[in-house]
Amino acid sequence: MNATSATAAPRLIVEGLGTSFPTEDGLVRSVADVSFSIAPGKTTALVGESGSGKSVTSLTLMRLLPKTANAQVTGRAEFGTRDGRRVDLLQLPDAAMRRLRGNELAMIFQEPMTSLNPVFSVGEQIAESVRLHKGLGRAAALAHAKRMLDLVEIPAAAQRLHEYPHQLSGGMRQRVMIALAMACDPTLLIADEPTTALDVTIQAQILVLMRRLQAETGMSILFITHNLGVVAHHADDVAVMYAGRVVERAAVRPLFATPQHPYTQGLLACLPGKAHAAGLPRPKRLFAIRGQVSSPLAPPPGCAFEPRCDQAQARCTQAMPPLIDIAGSRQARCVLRSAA
Amino acid sequence: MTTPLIEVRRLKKYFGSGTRPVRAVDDVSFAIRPGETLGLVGESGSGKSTIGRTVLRLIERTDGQVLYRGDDLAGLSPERMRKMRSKLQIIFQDPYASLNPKMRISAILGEALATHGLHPGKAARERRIGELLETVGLRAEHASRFPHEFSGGQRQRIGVARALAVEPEFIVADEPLSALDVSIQSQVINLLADLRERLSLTMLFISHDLDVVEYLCDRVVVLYLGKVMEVASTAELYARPMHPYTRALLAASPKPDPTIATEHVPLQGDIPSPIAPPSGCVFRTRCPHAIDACAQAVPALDEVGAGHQVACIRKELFMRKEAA
Repeated sequence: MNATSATAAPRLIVEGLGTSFPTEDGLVRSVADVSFSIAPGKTTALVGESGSGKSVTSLTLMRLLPKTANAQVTGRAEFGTRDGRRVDLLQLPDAAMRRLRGNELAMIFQEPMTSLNPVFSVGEQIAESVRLHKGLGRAAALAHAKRMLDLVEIPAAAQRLHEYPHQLSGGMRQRVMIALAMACDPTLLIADEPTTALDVTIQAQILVLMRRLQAETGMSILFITHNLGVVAHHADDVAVMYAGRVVERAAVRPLFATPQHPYTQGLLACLPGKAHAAGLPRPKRLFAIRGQVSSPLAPPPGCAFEPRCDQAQARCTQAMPPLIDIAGSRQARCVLRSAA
Repeated sequence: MTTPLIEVRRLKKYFGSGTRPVRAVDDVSFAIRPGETLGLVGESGSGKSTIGRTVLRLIERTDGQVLYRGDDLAGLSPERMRKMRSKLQIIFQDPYASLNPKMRISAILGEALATHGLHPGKAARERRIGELLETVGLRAEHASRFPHEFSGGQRQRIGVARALAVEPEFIVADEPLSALDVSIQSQVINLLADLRERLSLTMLFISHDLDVVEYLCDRVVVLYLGKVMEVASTAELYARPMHPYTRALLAASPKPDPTIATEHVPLQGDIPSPIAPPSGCVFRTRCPHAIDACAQAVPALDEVGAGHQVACIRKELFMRKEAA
């Protein structure tokens, strides 16, 4: 990290983000008290299992939750725009948000087949965003779309421009998704499980591509994933989520070296790839986190992880512990850790 | 050497007729010894699930043999095959799709017992169902519930219980962990490892997760586009991969440790279509070491060490490197 990026204001600061959905069975708090930030040109990973709230966090930030969900959103998401303003993404009027989205803020999704429109050629889909945001004419927009396909290393881009999503392989479709996201040169890319549907050799191609684009454009990336192997190699900072809350925040190396929250510790310990060092015999049993995530309709009274935690004490059931600063400029939501 | 429990000889499975069928499995041979867990790894379209299903005759093969204790399963009448299925079972990938939502757990497990006439009588059958649920870490009273009342990990346990109900010798586990979260995965891995030991099961473990395969399997078969690229014991394969595809697969799989530098040489391009596989070596179109000769003939699966076989005409490249 050089001096300028260390002092530059974070591109995104999320503070106390909460998203709740009213349901027939009561209010479901999908995301509560989520805070993190992303520096310019850096990648922050949101890691968690199903139901941890990582996707709801990204959809809340992009304001893409369906109106019919009646989401109740609290907190702040301060975003530094290209022209130097700092805006709260959660308070911005719809029209202003539309100008940012697909432009300075872009998103790529897990399933490229369902997130591309099957009835438009890939060229038209990429051209649409530059026509809208940059006011380019049809021909200029298509030429830009071709440059974008070249940028994401799609061979024979001029020909692919006129093809439809079903004519492309999964890896190619994800490249098109990235081309679409990159079309207006975003400063923040939210990538929600971008490689989960791909095979590992294709995943490696896409990850290398994302890295290259980040190095070239200086964009920040919010990388949402459940894959700790991908996090280890592609994130600068990590926020681990459990049951809608961030339970631990740290830079990537200290997080993997000395996880502080019992959930993070358990998550790393139960990976078969971490089970034994090279050359040593494999252990008879893997570490396993017992039980399962509690229902969001009936959360435990105290710490959400307490029912599954081997280190739990009586006081863990009293109240949800706050995310506290601990030594080494990191944070953990656990009463067993003492404040720095 | 003991006789294999399952032996697959030159198995082929083509989908569609005519001149250009989909060559899902093309001339695959391997053997599984009693008590052994054999891993079948490869990316989408490598034919691993098709092999699993063809071995159990859930789909019929196009050519080749599948021998169970030396007898060809294809020669069995439907009636005898049905009896044989009590020895050969499968655990499916998706625990949501593989349990009938309208049946209680007691009916799902009871059906398996009834089909093979095991534990006749209501009381005996109920006792056995309770026993099975406890074997997989659930409780006997869960029998009266429906699948939707369980989480994904618990459903996968029910899938395991159903496979075990008929006391099989051999289980095909087709990506049994990929629909599960990491913390639940390790619970099911431990369950499979325990049961395998307790019931001396033989397993064909199909997976795309190289870390899980390394942990659970004794030997590994690496597939690409319906063909075997490399076969070796797990320790040997992970320490000395000889086929360029195996090496690429291992290099592309990110290790959950930021201090391990990954040598990033991702393979170029996509897996070719199995309708028109490349001539010669099917991997040559993506192989960083391919030469003209690779297009000429299908490379033979050659023995390069004890139980280590590689189908590559340029394997010396890595053999020398290892020796040096």
